[in-house]
Amino acid sequence: MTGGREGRVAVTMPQLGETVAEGTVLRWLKQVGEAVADQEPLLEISTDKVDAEVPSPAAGVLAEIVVGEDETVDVGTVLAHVAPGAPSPGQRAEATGAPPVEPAAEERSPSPPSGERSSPPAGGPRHRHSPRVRRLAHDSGVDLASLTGTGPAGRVTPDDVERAARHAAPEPVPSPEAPVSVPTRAAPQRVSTAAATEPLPSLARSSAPAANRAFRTLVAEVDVPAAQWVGSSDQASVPVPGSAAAAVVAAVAGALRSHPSLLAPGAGADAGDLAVSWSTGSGTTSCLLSQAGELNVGGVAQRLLAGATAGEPPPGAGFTVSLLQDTDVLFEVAEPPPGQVATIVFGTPTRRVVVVDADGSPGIAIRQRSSVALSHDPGTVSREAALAFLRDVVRRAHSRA
Amino acid sequence: MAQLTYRDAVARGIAQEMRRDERVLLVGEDVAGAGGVFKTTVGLLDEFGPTRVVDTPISEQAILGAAMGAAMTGLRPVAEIMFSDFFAVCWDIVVNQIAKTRYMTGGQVSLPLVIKTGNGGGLRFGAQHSQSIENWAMAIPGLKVVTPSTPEDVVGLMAAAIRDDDPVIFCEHKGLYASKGEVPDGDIIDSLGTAKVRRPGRDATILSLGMMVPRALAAAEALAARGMDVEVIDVRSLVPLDTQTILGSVSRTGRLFTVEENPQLLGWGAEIASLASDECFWDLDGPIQRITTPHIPLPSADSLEDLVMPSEESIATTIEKALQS
Amino acid sequence: MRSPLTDHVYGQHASVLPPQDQTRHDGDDIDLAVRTGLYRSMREMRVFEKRAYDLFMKQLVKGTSHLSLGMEAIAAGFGQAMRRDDYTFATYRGHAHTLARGVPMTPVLAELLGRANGLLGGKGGSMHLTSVEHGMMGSYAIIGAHLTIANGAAWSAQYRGSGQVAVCFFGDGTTNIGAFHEALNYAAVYKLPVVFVCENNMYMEYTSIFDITAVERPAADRASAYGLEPVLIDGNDADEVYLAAGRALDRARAGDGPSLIEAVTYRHGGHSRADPGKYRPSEEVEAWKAYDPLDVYRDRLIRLGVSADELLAIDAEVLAAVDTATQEAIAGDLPAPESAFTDLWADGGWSWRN
Repeated sequence: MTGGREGRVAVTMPQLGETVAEGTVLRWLKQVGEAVADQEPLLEISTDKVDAEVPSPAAGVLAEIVVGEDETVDVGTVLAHVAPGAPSPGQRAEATGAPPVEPAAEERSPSPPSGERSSPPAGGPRHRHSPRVRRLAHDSGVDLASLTGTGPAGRVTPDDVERAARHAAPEPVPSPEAPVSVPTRAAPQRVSTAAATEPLPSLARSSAPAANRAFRTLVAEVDVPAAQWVGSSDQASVPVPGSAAAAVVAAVAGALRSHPSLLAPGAGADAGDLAVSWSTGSGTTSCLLSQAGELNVGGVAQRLLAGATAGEPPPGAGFTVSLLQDTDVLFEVAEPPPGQVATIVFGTPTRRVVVVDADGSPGIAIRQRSSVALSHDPGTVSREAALAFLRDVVRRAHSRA
Repeated sequence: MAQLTYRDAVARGIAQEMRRDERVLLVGEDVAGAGGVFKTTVGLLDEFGPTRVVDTPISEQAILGAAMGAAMTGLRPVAEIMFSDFFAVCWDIVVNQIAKTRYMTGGQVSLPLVIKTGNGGGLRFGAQHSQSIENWAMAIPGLKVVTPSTPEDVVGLMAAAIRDDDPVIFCEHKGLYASKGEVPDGDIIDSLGTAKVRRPGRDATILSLGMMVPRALAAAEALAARGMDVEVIDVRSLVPLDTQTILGSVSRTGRLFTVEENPQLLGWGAEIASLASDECFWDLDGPIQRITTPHIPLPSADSLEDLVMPSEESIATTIEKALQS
Repeated sequence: MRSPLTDHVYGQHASVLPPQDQTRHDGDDIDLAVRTGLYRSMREMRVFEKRAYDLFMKQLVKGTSHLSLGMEAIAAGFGQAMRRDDYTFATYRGHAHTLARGVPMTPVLAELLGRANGLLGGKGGSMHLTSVEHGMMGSYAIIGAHLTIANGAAWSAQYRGSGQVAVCFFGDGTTNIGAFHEALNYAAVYKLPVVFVCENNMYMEYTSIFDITAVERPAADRASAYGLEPVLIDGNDADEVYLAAGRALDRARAGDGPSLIEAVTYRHGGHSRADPGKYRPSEEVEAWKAYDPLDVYRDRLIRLGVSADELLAIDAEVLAAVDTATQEAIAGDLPAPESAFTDLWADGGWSWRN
C-alpha cells in the first residue's frame, strides 16, 4: 500500500504467492463513500491459486474504486483509494520497500582446460581428430593435415602428433615467446609444463622487494584436495573460497599456534587476526579471521564465506595468507605486509607428476599440488624457525587433505 | 589377515564401531535375532544386546524416522532397509527429512546416521528386489553414497560412514555377499570420497561400482590378452566423488568407459561423463561410452537378467570395438 | 451403483459446535502463576500471528504460512507443562509451538521475512521453524513424517536414560496417512516416551475430516488399535490441555509408554493464507469464534480474581514485544548470497567432490 495524492492511501492487488502475477476482483465489500476501519475487509479477490479478502490499509472512507468486479489486473495494480478519516493508531512499522536483491547473476564462464586454450584450435580442413590430438597439434605447431594417421581407419593418434613434433622441432631450447611443451610419457600437464619452461622471474607477479627491506623466501609443495581455491563463483557476488582453501588456511592457522614467532610482534598467542586473500585473474577478495587458530576446516570455510569482501585485506593482521589462482602464474614471492614478519602464498593448484613411494619402489603419480612460498624477515625469523613452520603447514595440510 | 566374506565383513565393520562407541545402534527388520535376511548382522545381538541391536516391524518410514530422531539427539544409528527397492516406501524420510534438515535449519541439526541396504541384481529376484539405487540417492543434495566392492572396503567404508557426521547411504551389493577377500586384522578405517585404482593401464579408463568392479577387472584381463591395457577404477563413493583420481586417470588415458548396473538414463556414469567433458575435453582421444543396463526394469529369468546386465564379455567387446575404431 | 460419497456435498455438512460450559475448569488445581503464564503465552501467539498476517498483506512475508489463530490453547498448555529439555516436533503450522518453547519472537518473525537474522538464516522459512537449544526440534511439512522422527528422539532419550519426552503435534488429516500408523505401532511396541497430540480442527485443507474418515474420532478411535487409551480433550481450554499434557508427560517419564491425545479445536482462518475458509458453515465458524480460547481464559482469570488491569498490562507488554520484533525483523539484512552455499554438510560447505 502506498500513499497517494492528497493523503489518500492506495489499495493494491496483493501478491498472493510467488508465482501469481494477476488477480481478479470478485466482489467489493464496501462502496464508495462508506467508512472502513483499519484492516477491515474491503474486497474479495481471486487468483489462479488463491481466494482472499483484501483489508483496508487504513481507517477512513473508501474514496474511489479503480477496478470493478470481474476485472483482472496485474499484481500491484491500484484497486482503490481510501481517504484516511482520522490518524490510524494501528499503523504498523513501514515496509522497507526494498525489493529482494538477486545475487549478482554473473554469466557462467566454464573454466576451459587452460587459459590460453579456451577455444578449440582452428585451421586446416575438417578432420575427425580427437580433442587430445587437436590440442597436442596446436601446442606443438604440427599441421594435422600433413600427417598420415597410424591408428584404426587411418586415424591420427596422439603418438603420431608427438612423433611429428619431434621431427619438426629444430631448436631443443624453448623460447619464452613461443613456448613449446615437451612431450613426456606421462600425460602432458598443460599449465605446469608450459609455465615451467619459462624463467621464474617473468612468472612472479609484482614481486620486486622494497629496496630497504630484505626478505628470504622458502618454497615447498603441498597436495591440495581440489583444482581451484575459489569454488563456484558464478552464483555469488564475490568469488567464494572452497574447501581446499579452507583446508590450507586452517593448516596455517594451526601451525601459527605452534610457531608464534612467525606472527607480527604483539599479535598474541591465539594467532591474532589472520588475513586471507584470494586472487583470481579478475581481482582480489579477502577476509579477516579472528581467533583463527581455534577453528577447524569447516569453521574456517564458514568464516571465509561469511567474511569475504572484495579488495585487499585491511592492515593490522598478525599474519597474511594469500591464495593465488591464475592459470599463467605458478606462485608469487610476496613481501611481508608492513608490521608483519612473514607471509605465505599458496600458488595456483596444478596437476603435477610426482615420484611416489609405491610399496618400496619409486612410482609416478599425478597429484593436484600447489607451491607454497613462505617469505620472512631474516632479521626476525631464523631460517630454522621458518623451515619448521613451513614443514608444519605442509604436514597439517596433508593430514586434512 | 583373514579370508572373510563380504557379508561377514558388514557385521565386522558394524561391530568394530559399536565396540568403540556406545552411541552406535543398529535397527532394522530381522537384524537382531535372525542376524539379517542376508546374514550381514550375525552375532551383533549376542555381543551388544537388544537395547543396541533392535528388530523392528515392517515399517520402513518408522525405522528411518527413528534413526533420524536418534541421530538429531546425539546417537549415531545404523538403520537397515532390507532391499534397496524398499527405499521407495520411505523415500520421504530420506529425501525430505534426512537429506534437507541440516541445510533447512541453518546447520542446527546434525544427522550422523548410516542407512545400509542390500542393493543390486544378479540374484534372479525380479524387478522389485534387484534395483541399483545409487543414482536415486546421489541426485539428492545432503546424502553421501558409497558402494564397496571388496570385504576389506566393506569394513573400512562402514567405519568411515559411521564416523561421518553426515547421513550416508551404504549400498551393499547382494551379488557380492558370498564373495571372499583378504581383510587385514585390527581396526580398519577407510575414507569416504576416495576411489581406488584396481588395475593400472594406459589405453583407457573403466569406471565401475559394486558388482561391476569384478566384471570390469575380468574384462580388462581379457582385453590385455588382446593387446589393450585398460585401467579399472572402483569408484566406491559417488558422493563425495573422487574426481582427482577419476579425471586424472581419464586425462592420462584419453578414453573413458563407465560400467553401470542401472538403466542408462541418468545413471551415475552420465554425471561423470559430463564432468569429463567439462574438465578433460582436450585430453579425450575418443568418445566417452557408457555400458549400462537397458532402460527397462530387471527381468527375473536368469537368461534374461544375464542378457541385460553388463557382463565380462559385453564390457570387453564394447571397449575393444571403441578402441579400434 | 451408489457411491459412498453420494451424501457428501462439498462445503455442506452438519455444523460441529463447541462446548457450552466455559466454567468447568475454574476449580482445577493449577497455580495462578501458571495460569497467567498460559494467558501470556496464548496472547503472544495470537498477536504474533496476527502481525505475521499483516506483514503478509504488506507483501513482506513471502511464500506461504499456516496460522494457528484459535488453536493457541494446545500449544500453550503443552508449552507450560513440558520440561525445559523435552522435545517438540511440530508441523508446518508451527509458529505457536515455537513460541511456546521460549524461542524469541524476532528471529521467528525475521525467518518469515526471509532475513539474515531469521531463526534459520532464511533457509527454512515459516514451515521449518527449529531451535534445538530450546528443544524445538523442528517443524515438518510432509504430513506424518515427524511422528516417526519424534519416535527416534524418544528412543534416544530412553536409551540415554535422560527422562526427556518427545511431544509431537499434528493435524486431523495426518491420521489417515501410513506414517501415522507406523509411528503409533512403533512407539507402543517399544514403550517410547512420546506424546502424540492430534490438533483436530476438523478440516484437512478444504474437506471436513469427518466426511472422509472411517471412524468418528480420527485419532481417539484409532488408539485402541495400538493398545492405547483414547484421550479426547477440549483443545480450546488451556487448563484442560495443561492437565492432560501433565498426565501424558508423567506417564511417558515413568516408562509407561506413549499417549495419543485428540484435542478438538478450530482454526479461525483458512488452512493457509491462501484459503479464506469459505467451505465451513457460517454458524459453525461463528460459534467457534465465540468460543475463542483467549476469551475463555480471560473470563476465567477474571472469575478467579485476576484484575482486568493486570491482564491489560500483559496485553500491552505482548504488543510491545511484537512491535519490537517487527521492527527488528524488518530491519534485518537480507541473507548474504554466500549463505546459500553453507550448511549442506557437517563441514559447513556444500562440495560434493574433491
